[in-house]
Amino acid sequence: MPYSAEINRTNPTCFVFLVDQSSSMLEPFGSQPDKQKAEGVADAINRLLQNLILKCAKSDGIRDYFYVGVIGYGGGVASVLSGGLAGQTLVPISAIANNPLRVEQRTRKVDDGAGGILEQKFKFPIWLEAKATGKTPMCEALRLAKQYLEVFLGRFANCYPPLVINITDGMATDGDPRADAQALQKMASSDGHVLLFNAHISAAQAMAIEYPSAEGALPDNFAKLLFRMSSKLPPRLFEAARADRFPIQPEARGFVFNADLVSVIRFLDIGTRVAQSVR
Amino acid sequence: MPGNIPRLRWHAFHTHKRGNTPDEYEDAFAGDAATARFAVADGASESSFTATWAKLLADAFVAAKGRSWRDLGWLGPPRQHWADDVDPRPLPWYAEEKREQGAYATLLGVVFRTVRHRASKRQDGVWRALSVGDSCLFRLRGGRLIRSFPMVNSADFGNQPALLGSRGRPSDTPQGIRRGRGRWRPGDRFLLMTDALAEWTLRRNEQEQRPADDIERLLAESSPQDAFAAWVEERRNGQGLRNDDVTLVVIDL
Repeated sequence: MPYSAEINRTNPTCFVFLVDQSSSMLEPFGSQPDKQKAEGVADAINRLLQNLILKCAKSDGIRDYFYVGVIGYGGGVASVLSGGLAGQTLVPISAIANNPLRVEQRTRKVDDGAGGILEQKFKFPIWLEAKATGKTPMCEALRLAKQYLEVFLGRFANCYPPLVINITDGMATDGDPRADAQALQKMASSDGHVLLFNAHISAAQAMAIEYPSAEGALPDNFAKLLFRMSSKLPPRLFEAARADRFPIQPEARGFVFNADLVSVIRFLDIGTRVAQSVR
Repeated sequence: MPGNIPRLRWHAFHTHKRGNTPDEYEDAFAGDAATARFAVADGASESSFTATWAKLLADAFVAAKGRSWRDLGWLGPPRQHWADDVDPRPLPWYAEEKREQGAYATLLGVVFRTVRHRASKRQDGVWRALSVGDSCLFRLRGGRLIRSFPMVNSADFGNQPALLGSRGRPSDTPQGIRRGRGRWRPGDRFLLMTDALAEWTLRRNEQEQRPADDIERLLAESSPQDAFAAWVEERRNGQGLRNDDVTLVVIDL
């Protein structure tokens, strides 16, 4: 069965994040209008990286189950890993864990177990700052991701298929991205084709939509285009999403609208799961 | 449980997940022939400081006095012990966050007794078990599997079993607790297993492959302890035994 390869340190898989940093990201973010879309995107990518790291963190350090690349597209198209990772393309997750730009102290509200709310401090590492400049060369970003994965698949031919996660407001300015998306999804390991998932960050103050199986309810053409570019959830991810009580239907796709894709990380099987992730 | 403590013999076997090092083994087992209490625990791979927690849990169940399959007061000390052990350690941000979330493990604990039957004065063997998650108990008689608890079908195993957490408050009632009871007769064999081997056992039994015979052959080896890792590896390669830590406790009554 495809998409069933064990993910471990000798047979890791790979995440490539594509981050829209174009000037349209200066607009307000639909689900939090006091924020710019660029800030929403930076928060999303920082949270995704944090959750990937926590999934691999053990008492003795980080287990390198994942390799990670982060490509920004806007004024240019390039790796946006910075600080100690500047100029690198794909790095093991432990390198990401040990090289945040800074670690912020944030607070969250938690149930105190006695009917009240408690403010709890937690650490929020930052790898990517909000940035918004230039056009939206999404096609070029998809092609760069393909180059990253050619290298990775050359080294780990039997890996759980790599996942490409594109976070954008959907307005590609360098052509129709579908052909480049398909070229990416045609690449494969012996365990299955590369997965492309899209998170659409929109200015529209519409309800969040997660893992739809049809485009009918999507609010605009950009969302519909991204939906069509998104891979279907493989059976095990589908089952894991069901088990997490996502109300998904057969043919559900790796697409979310004004929501985040942190749950995808939860769905991946690296061993016995604990039912929580960090927001 | 009132009653007398039966005479029994027990052995435990364990091996780590292929690709991991032996010190990354995160199952645990504990047993005491003098009190006829036994436990296996399976630390959740996604949590941190897990091996410590699994071992504390198994040890605490076995060391508990009284009705440890029913009253969970014995959970307090291992939770405190875990926190005392891990909380003072200076850690990088990610390990700190994982520590905050706590460690998680399944648990299967069992207690054996003999009770005197009032009318006939016969001695009856009884067992009581506590389960959280998918670690399993099997009762064998004459090489046949005649009872399994709590899992009954191989198809029911998943990667999100009920778990006992190290961070619970004393007032919390853990989710997913199951309690089992039954009888035993002299000559019966009980097996406690963590999930991968338990799933294999149920599946082979569903296919009428007599998994108990297979385990019997292992125990008949001149040095079963040394043979265990190879026995597990063979079944990983040829019989679909899932690659995971494996623990087996054999109790002969």
